[in-house]
This record gives sequence, structure tokens and C-alpha cells, in this order.
Amino acid sequence: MEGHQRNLYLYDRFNARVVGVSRNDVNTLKFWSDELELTFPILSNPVGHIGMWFGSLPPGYPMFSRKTVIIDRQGVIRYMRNGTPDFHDILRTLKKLNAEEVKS
Amino acid sequence: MMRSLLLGMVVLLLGACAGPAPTTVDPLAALRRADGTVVWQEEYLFLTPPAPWSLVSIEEDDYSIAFAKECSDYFPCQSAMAYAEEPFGYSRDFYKRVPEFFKRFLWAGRVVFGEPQLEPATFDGRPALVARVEGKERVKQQKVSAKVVFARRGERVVGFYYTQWRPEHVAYDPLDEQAFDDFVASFKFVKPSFYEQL
Amino acid sequence: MHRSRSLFSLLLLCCLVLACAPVSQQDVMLKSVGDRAPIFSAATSQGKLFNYDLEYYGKHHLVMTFFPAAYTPI
Repeated sequence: MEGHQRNLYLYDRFNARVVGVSRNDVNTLKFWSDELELTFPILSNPVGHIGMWFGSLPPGYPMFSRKTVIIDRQGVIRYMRNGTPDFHDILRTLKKLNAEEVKS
Repeated sequence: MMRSLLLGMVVLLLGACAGPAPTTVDPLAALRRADGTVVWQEEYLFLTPPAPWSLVSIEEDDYSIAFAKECSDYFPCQSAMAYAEEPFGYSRDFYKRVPEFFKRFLWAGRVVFGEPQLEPATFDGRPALVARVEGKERVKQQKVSAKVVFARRGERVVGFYYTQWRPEHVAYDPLDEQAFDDFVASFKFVKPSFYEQL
Repeated sequence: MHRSRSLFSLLLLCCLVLACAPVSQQDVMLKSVGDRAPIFSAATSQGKLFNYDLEYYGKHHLVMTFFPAAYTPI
């Protein structure tokens, strides 16, 4: 999440926003994100259905697997990648999405 | 007869163990240029610190490249230097970055830092900020002296770290810092960063 | 001959039934690149409600990172 916070100014330039999502309760996430001084929201999904929808919750596993998803402004999923976020990859994708909009 | 045979075997064994003197291998040999500088990841150019400083192979993402120097007079007895493309913290303003950085730096070592002394400097012809601070691990009675150079690469902040660990009652050795200063002074970017080309 | 033919018919019938068996709800909901994002909301660390459609749909691109748990290096 700290990598996202460092790149927030670039996400702004590409008209993008970022959120984290985990199965932690809201209170835990509030304390944790305050300690990290994050300025973007972390979604609390204890039931885990949002993770399920995006393929981040393997059956029988209690926690989300790391995964980054990018949804464009039209509501279409344009990027999905398992594992630790690849920040360069994310920025290249956002640059492309932003350029598509500017062209049209 | 048996005794001389046994003695002979012992001598042979000892002889086999006393192999040739170990040769120091330069892990950066392939990247070293004629003038002794190294180009790392086709992006960074610098002079490596002299022996006994050695390259640290790092698994984590905390450092881009690091060197360390150990001594065995006591424990801990170590100096280290590193270049970091993404130092801890977020702000692009040096003064705001300092507290964000020291909240996380050496956190895993349970180090508690005092108030850093800040001094403006320059790096690569642009304003930089040097922070000096001491940290303590009170339970193990160890201390660390840290010097961090916050520098600019494009719009972003990059960092050079220097640390020296000693037991709490042992004086620091100021000479190692010169090797760090030389490393920083020699450091150059040979191409624009990913972010500068975005 | 007669028995093997009826056995074959039974096998065929079983295959057809299995092929028509309903796919689990999870499979139906599983998203891929190119799919439309679902309508979703969640409580957040900032004490506010996140509502994708009200705040992001038609307004901003959204980067979502799923992670295992706060306070652990897992």
C-alpha cells in the first residue's frame, strides 16, 4: 500500500483512484492505515465476496491472495495481476487508459 | 609400523586441509569499467568502496544496492551503505519525508531514533538534504549511527543510507563515513528513470 | 449385446445430465479482464462507505489491490 501512496500524485494525473481490500474489520483497517498514514481508503470485506468475484479468494483459504485489478472509468475490467503490485505496470496501464480517453 | 602409518595419515589429512589461500572474487567484475567505476542495472554509475567493504546480496526490496564492512572485535561491529530508489515514506518534500522515513528505517531491528539533525546539501547539482541521527536498541544495548542523504531524481526522492552499529559502550569509528561520502559523490544516473519517461 | 447397448445409453444419459448441471454461483460471478465490474460497496478504513457506482463509475479509473491482512508481512 505504501507504493500506492508514493504514486498517488501520478494516479491523480491519470484520473485514477486506488483502494486496498482485505478481510480485516473496519477498526483494524482504520488503526493500520492511520499508522501507515495512508490517504486512500482500505475496503473491509470480512465476508470475502468481493475477493471471490475478482478471483482473489481461493476456496477454503481464510485471506485474500495479493492481486491488483484495474477497472476503467466505463466500468470495464482492463487489468488483473496476481502477486505484489507491479507499480510500473500499473502506471503504464493507467497512462494507456488515460490516453484512450484523451483521444476520443 | 602402525604408529608411523597413522602419523603419515594425519600429516596427509592436515596437508589436504591447508589448501591454497582464498582469492577475492569481484562480484561486480563483469560490470566494471576501465576507470574502476561500475554501471549497475544499466542505470547507475558509481565507484565501489574499497576492500574490506563487500557487496551485500539483498532479498528484500528495501535497497537497490548495498555494501557492508564487518569487524570482529565485538558484536555488533558493522558499517553499511546503500542506495535506495524508493526510500521509506511518501512525500516529495524532503522535510516531510524525513519523519516518514525514520518511522520505518531499521524498524525490524527494534531501533528507536532520536531527533535527526538536518543539513541542506546538493546532489547531482540539485538540492538535497542530509539527516544524521543516532538510534538505540535498549534491550540488546546496541546503538546505530545513521546518515541519510535525501536526493532528487526527476520529481521523486531517492536515498543514500549509511549506518554503523556498535555495542552501546563502544565509540563509533568515524573513518568509515568517508567511504560513504566518496560513494555518494561518485554516484550518477546514466539514463532517465521509468518515472521521468512516463 | 442388448445389455451393452442399454449400458451405453445409461452412460450417455449420465454425461448429458452432468453437462447440464448448474455451474456454481461463484463461477458465474468470477470476473476476468474484459468483463464489466460488479456493483459493489464496502465499509472503509476512513469511516465512510465506498460505493463503486456513486464515486467511481463514469468518474475515475480504479486500482484495487487485494491483500491478505493488515499488520502482517504475509
